Amino acid sequence: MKNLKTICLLVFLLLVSWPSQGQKGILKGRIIDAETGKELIGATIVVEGTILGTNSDLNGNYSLKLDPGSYDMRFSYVSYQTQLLENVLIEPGKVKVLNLALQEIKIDIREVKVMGRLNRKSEAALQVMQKKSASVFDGISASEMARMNISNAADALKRVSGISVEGGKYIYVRGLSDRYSITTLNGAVIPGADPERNTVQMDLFPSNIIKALAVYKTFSPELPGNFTGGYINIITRDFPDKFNLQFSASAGYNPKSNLNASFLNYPGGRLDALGLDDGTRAIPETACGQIPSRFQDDARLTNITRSFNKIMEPRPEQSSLNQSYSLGLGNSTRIRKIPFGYNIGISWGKKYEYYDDGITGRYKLIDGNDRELTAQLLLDTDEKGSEHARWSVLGSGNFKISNHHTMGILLLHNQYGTSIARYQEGIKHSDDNEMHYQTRTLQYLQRGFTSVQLKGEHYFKQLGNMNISWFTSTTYSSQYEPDLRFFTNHYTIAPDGSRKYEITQSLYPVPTRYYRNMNGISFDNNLKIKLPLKIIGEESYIKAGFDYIRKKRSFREHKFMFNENSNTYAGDISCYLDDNNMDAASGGIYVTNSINSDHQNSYDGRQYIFSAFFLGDISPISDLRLVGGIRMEKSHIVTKSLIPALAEGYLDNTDLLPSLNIIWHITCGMNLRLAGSRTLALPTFRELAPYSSFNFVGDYVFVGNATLKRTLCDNTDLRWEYFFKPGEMITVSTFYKLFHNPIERTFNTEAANPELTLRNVELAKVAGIELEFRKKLDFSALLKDFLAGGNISLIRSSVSIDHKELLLKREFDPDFPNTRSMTGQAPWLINAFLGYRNKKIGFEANISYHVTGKRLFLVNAAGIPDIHIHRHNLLDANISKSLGKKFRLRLAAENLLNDPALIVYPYKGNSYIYQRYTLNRTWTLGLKYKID
Amino acid sequence: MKTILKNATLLFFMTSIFLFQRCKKENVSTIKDPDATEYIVEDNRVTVRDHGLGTGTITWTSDKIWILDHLVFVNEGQTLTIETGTVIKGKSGQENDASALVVARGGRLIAVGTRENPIIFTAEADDLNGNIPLNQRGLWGGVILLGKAKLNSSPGETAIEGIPTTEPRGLYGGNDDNDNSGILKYVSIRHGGTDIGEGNEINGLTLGGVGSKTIIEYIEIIANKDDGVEIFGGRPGLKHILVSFCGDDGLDYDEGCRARIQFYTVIQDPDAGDRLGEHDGGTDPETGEPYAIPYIYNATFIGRGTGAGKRVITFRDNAGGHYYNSLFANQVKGIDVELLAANYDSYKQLSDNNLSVEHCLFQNIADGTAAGIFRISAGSGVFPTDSAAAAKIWAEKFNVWKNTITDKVLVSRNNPIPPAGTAQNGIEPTDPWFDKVTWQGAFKPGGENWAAGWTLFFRH
Repeated sequence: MKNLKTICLLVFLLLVSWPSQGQKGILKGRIIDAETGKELIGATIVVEGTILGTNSDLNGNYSLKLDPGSYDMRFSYVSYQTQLLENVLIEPGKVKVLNLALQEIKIDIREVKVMGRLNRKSEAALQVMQKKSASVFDGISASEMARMNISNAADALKRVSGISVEGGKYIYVRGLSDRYSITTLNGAVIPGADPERNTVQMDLFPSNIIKALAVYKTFSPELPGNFTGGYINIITRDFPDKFNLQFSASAGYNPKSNLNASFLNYPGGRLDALGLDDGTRAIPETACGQIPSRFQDDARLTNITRSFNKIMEPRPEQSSLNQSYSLGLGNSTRIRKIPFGYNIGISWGKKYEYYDDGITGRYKLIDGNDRELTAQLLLDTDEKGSEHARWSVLGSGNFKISNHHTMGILLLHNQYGTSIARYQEGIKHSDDNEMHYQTRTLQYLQRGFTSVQLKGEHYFKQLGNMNISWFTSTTYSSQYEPDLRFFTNHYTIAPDGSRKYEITQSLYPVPTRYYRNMNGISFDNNLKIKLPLKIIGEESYIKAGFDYIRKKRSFREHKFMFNENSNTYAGDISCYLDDNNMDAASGGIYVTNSINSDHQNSYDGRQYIFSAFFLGDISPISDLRLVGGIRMEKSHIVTKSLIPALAEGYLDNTDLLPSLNIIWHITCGMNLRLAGSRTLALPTFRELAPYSSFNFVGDYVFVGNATLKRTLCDNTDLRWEYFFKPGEMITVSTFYKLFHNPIERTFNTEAANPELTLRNVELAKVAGIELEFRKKLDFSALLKDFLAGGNISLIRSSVSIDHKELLLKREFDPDFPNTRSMTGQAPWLINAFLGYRNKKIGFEANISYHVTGKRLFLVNAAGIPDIHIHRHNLLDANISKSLGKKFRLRLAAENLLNDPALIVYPYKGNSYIYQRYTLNRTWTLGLKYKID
Repeated sequence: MKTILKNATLLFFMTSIFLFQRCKKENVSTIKDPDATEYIVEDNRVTVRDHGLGTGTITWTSDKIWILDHLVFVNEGQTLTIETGTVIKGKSGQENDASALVVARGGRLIAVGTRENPIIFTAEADDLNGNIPLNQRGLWGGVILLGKAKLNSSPGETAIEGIPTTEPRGLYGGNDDNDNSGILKYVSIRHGGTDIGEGNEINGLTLGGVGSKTIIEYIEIIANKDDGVEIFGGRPGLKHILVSFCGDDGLDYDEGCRARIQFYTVIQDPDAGDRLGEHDGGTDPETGEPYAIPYIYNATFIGRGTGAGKRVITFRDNAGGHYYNSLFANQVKGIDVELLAANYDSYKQLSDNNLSVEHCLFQNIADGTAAGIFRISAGSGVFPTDSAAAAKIWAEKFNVWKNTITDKVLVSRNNPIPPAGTAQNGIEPTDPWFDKVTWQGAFKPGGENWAAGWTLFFRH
């Protein structure tokens, strides 16, 4: 029913937006500064020889209705070279777009040339933004994403210099974990959907809603202060130039994952394809509240035990092809004479991932003098099937109330559902090598993200050209993980060859089901006032503003364990879970829960950050620009477990964060930047919650720390950049960061079982160098259609090791260093790409390569070597060809090198596998239909 | 001092409430101080709820049934005295809802029962009239004693299994091997072993860093879901222990345990139980000192029998230990010594004379041969030649150490006492702490059953 409504609405919108015939034509476009890319506000656009005309608005946009015909258009702006364009053809009912870059008048008047169409979706436009930005800034544009066949923001960010992506969704900027980065949607802070982490899972944002991803690497007082590594802004599509419609469909095939009859899966609900659980996986109603223990109410206990779904093991199932469809629609029209532009984007996709060559190992070190590690668990069977379904809807609208006032609204919903089925088998070592260990995981992870944003921009000529911009944003994010099931057992082989099965609680948990639910909401209200100060240089201005962010989060966990008095498991899970075996009175399987544990592991968090800033951007002498200012940030966090007696995580700080950026325009297009700033980093809600939680069989227990303090960071950056031609550039950056009291992972040395926690350690340092270039190979006629580019980052870090942990490490190795590199920090990152584009025949080919160096994955307990992620090479390629004017066919190949994902324990020259698997190559064929 | 005062005040209040109650015949009353330990009285039942201040120095009298609601600690400086014949019951519940009695470091438990009137710890649902079958496990927690004796783990202080490090009273270990946690005598601990979190069950009796001045004698642990007794480091002495029908191991030690144990009996349920003895040396690092070298005289271990596939004893993780004068019966696998590619393992302890099994008697164990009973368990990466050589050396010790194999049935699950005149090949202990007997096993052949009368197992 809902779907039908949506379709009706769509059809309606299509109809109203279709340009009607026999009318006037429209000339529109955007006027910018040819050198800086800055919009020119109030430029004059006149039909030569008439009084017909208009002015550009505060975004530099203009629009003019004209009768069909041919016109000579004049574009002018004070102190800029006036341009005359002859024979501009206006057709009835059609929109003609003319974007123009005006050249500032210098002493030597150069030839006027039209820079061509400037479209902010292209990388050249991004480059202009980059060049004029006050901060060190990198990014990736929509057209680049389309060219490389990138499906989501996480995939895209991997290509940006200095960025690595962990687990397909968590972003590391300059080797710093997500604690040191912040993600915003059109500038507004949004909550993450992961109870454990600070930032947003970037895979939630499909590329079809993104106009550009901007990554700021140096602080400016107008940006949120809790970033040190980077500030990532997801910019969604907004005001369209004219009517455009695109539809695309694609199908993907991976020989392992798709059309595989033995793809591991488990039966879910009817709405799984929409990333929603339909209630199939909910807690049975009878099991709510405290479950009676045995000999209390055996009849009720039996009923409750039987009420749970019996599926606790994966089963092979035929998988289909990967599919994805998207529809994008945009137009500008008028509502009550007010120009209104809108964009609608809808997408749906389904993807399968599968491997059957996985290996999982767990090792220990007995004595520091040992030459080898000793295996504890070696699972050489590891099969995992993941089925991903996602959809997103974006609607945005912008009103141009007058040339000096615009307002916009954005509505966005992303939904992502992943169903995972995994089976592992192998040997559990130590004293008993015949112990065959088997474990199964069934997981469903449903993530949702809804954002509503209102924004406005106002320009007051009378008030000294003051510009006021504001936004208010409300974002709701949720992660629902219903019925996460673990079923682990082992067997031994008797002398007669028969298997003897057992479930032993002292070695691993009994069959367990978890239900986890996290909801977060955040409000971000922002106001900025910008006042040009023409007295000190042409471009100078001062800016002030404030931001108020409120976040709330709640996390709930319920856990149910299936116990029995004596072992009856005989190797068949469905027999074991049969109702007949679930009679509590006769000592069968019975379910237990612990309300207290559930309460302890559930928490509520509140946070607010109030900030105010002031900055000045001045050019005291030409070619020198100084951007400096200060930000005051008051942050307040409270995390409470549902058990009132447990310590409450509490943090309240007011910090002053100064920053100064010096930009020297050496020559046209060449800048040297020097930046210094102080920023901060905060613990997450979960990290402040002092309870212990456990995620996977064989994993460590994690305990929060209510006494964590925030981290202060001092940053310095030096960058040389040269934008020698549109779309071409070279940059070299170096940076150094010093962290006071960084929050680092460590162990509770007193814990009976390894227990991970977080503590503030003394100091950390990070230094690095980044090189990026992009060049058309037009020096040779043969290669003129090629574009090559790439970036290399070299990073080193060192962080103090917690005092107690160090004592323990030195029991094994008296020379153990007192620092290590930061978790997740790669020593080097390389991205390279080569593109070919032949406009005549509409053919394009691209190849891209990405590699991340070996990096620390997990700090380990006692003397066991820390676990590292091995180097991983990724090579993707795609070709596309236009079919007529409106269609384009694309063939893409992902993961051509098929490099295994490898996580290891390095020890005395050898690498011991922690985890290894390969995901195989994926081939995707896509067709796109586009009108604009 | 403050704590004691506070608890004394509390006691005073409690007593007055008792009296007050008797007069008014009101059913429930609680003390309001939110931090204070609650003693909730309902007729002859007293529910004890600890919010951090412990039991206080107090006597739990035999005219009441004392209900443990969640973990109840005897804090540092406090002494809990339990009268002869008192019944203590644990509420059901797992993980953070688990109930147990924990004697923290510096606290003392004086629980002295008699043969006629033992002190009983059991589940709340137990009517003590046989409503709960003998083999029902995991209905509540257990009894945990924590002391200041030495561990071999680094940093020498550990939180006991399942109690989070955020609870400082769960820590044990120190430098006083002669520490005194009190007296436990004629105590029967029944149907415990609930899961306390992250897959850790509570043992029947857990001894963490317990010192040698603690007296532990005539203890029954029956139908515990985890181990009967687990000893983490320290130097406790245990005499006359009967462990029966437990879900995991009969006797387990870790973290550099140097206990002295005599007359220790384990009887397994044919349907449950893992090893009779599971012996680990250390954890972080496994080679930590002091090494685990306990002395065990006169143990009787009776296994699950054929088909269960279980072991008598595993020595691993650098554990040592000496068994003398013991009797092992009815198990499919024998005594394993771990051999690793690493430098340190239990085989190294064997080579260094820190591990031995001497003057013991084997009845129906493995295939009834020395090489079948004394086995090497090789870890990954051990060369087969090395493990074969080690197996040969270990098996040769069987005779060197004067162990014998009997083909007669001397003991059984229902009768652990060998006939008079059998099992006489023991050696006299040198340490005066041990009773000077030379028979083999925990019971004098043809003699009296010291476990009769006061244990649930022999009442049946």
